Amino acid sequence: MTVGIEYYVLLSLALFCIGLFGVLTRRNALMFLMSVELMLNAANINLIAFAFYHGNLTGQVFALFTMALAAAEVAVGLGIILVLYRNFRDVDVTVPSEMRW
Amino acid sequence: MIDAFTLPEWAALAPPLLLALTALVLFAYDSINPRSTNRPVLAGVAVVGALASLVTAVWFTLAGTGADGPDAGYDLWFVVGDSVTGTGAIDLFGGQLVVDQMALFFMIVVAVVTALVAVASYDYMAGHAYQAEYYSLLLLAATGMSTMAAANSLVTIFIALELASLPSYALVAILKDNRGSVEAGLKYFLIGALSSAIFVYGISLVYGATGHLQLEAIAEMIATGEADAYSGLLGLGIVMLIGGFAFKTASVPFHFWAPEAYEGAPAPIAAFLSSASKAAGFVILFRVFTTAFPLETTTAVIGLDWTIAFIILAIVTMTVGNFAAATQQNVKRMLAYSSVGHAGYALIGLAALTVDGGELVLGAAMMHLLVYGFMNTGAFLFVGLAEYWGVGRTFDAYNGLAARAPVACAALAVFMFSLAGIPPFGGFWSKYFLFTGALEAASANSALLLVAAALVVNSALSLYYYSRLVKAVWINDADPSLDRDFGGTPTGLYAAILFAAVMTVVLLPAFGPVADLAIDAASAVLVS
Amino acid sequence: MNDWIAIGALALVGLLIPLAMMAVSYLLRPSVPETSKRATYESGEVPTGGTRIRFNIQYYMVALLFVVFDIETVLLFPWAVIYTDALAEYGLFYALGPMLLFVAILALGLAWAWRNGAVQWAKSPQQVGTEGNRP
Repeated sequence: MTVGIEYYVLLSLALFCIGLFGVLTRRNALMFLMSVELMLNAANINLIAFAFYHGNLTGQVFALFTMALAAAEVAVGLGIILVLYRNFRDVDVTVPSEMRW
Repeated sequence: MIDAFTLPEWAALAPPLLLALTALVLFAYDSINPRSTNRPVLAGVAVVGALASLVTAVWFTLAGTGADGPDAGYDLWFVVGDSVTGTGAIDLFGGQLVVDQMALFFMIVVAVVTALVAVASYDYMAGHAYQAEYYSLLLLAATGMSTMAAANSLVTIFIALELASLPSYALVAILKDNRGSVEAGLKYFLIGALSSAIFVYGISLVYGATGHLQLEAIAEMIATGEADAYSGLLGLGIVMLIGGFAFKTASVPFHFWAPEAYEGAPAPIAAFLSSASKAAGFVILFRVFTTAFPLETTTAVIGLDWTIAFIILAIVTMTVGNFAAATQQNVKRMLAYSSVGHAGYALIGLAALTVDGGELVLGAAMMHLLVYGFMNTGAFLFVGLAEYWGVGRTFDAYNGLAARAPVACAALAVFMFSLAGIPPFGGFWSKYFLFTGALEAASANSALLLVAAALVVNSALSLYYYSRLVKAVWINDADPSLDRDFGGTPTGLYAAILFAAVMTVVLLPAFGPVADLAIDAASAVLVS
Repeated sequence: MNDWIAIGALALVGLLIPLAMMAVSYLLRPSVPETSKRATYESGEVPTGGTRIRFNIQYYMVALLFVVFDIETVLLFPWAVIYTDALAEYGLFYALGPMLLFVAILALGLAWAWRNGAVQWAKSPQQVGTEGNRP
């Protein structure tokens, strides 16, 4: 029994929306980072499901690259959050407001 | 004439490869000799690497690499492909990367800006702890941007885009103890991470609709009608891709990181991001939309003409950028918003495409990005010079700077009038071509009259705030109560600013060949 | 539809077993409240301070290096799967060369991190002295 492709898309869309909701509502920089990871993984679900559906491996290989890039992004992001904490004593993304229009 | 020595095909990637090699050399140098503050060696290696990349890119362009048709280029000693008969675009790794005239054109832009920024950083970053890391990250980001120019598949586009973005986040936040720099880095990173997540989701939807990630293969699936059943997925995917491109090019709706990031970042990095990064964002935008989603067949599948999206984005972006710039008191912020406005001008290149034409306007957008690479980099480097001297950040603080530095201020006047598009400078021609291109396309789509009108109105408005800065440095007198203590004359910053100014002026007489090259490159992309 | 009934039954059993166990133990166990039983660690160790303490930055550095090499294996794996076929078709240089280059670049990164003290847990007095001189 195979699950129809539309269910995978719905699952990934739900995951993407959860991530987007987290991005828009969370003020903690770490939660923001986790939400972005959810969105990236939603894309991975899509890629792998469609790779299976279309019968080519392009999507699966690209999903591997996406995972590697997500890890690199988290590494850079955590570094920035670390210097943020050192400078502002907080990881709330709304605290830094040195610059204003 | 002796026969030219033909290099293997992968050698066409020499410009990004040289940048990557330089970054690794700097990295190895820092591993062997950690925390070196030997600035002449480090900056020297970075500049040599960027110039080597520039020379090879210019060489390949002159030799007609990737060009089509007989007598595509001059007969030089080393060529990739055949310069006499013209072998057309060079496909590498099964079409994942392609080196054609457009790729080389943008590799030149990236290499020029990288070289200018590396020269200017020699003075600006003096006394900073992370010298080798700084130059290494700069060249890695440049590698990513140069690869973006050649990327021909959504996989390579995404990887190159991240390679350009990740070092940029670190570069913006590199002044670790400066709260402004850290805040700018954070905001740039947060919006960048969000937009790259949206971008990759868009890629996954396009893959779902077509089953391919290579751009020509996507176009083929759309043309043969195999994607008809998934028009919704494809449309949503295209919208999400536009979101990712908007971030990289600092256009609406992902433009709001630009003023924050540019203001907090070190001035050479702001110059780098606003010129090279924007140009790299535009090259993938142009390539994806001309190669993967040809106007006619894509409209047939998704039922909507994607130029409409770019018409709206272009008008909104240039209006938002210019009106916000006009209200700024801070010079760096003004330049940041003006760079948003210029992204709007370059978007006309896609907005005015039509089913059977548009190479003039697309070529004009490419020319604009080249000229912009000089004039905008120069303007940001002037701000870097002012920061180096400890002049304040507002227009008032710049009053009377011409008395101290007449040469640099003359260069600033050149940049400002060129950015505004006043006739005797390079910026005029590219805007003129954009304007005529938009008018030409208006016969098919009258909405473009609106775009052309917005271009004129915004250019007029931009003249107001650009000339305000020129007036501040040349006409206004410095506040006598300020006893400003200028340091010495920083050679590197001066050299970079003057070179950019000279190029902005020289590009005017040299505009014929540049325009020919850009229009050739644009028509090659549009035909394929 | 039979498959779904099986899954539903499995879910139901999965829920019922722990609930039943908790109910049975509630009925059978004697209740002798005592303060030492309510301690976080029944071994008798009294916890001090909160749980939200700051860890040494070195944990983060090591974790970061781990992530890099963890992801490296993800990219190595598909290459390893097709290696024998690629060897037969393209020869040693084109099958092995790119991956060696990839690993060499990663190794350069590790060497850099090592030289710059990312995996250094303690500093000698001499190193602390030179640290202070950095701008």
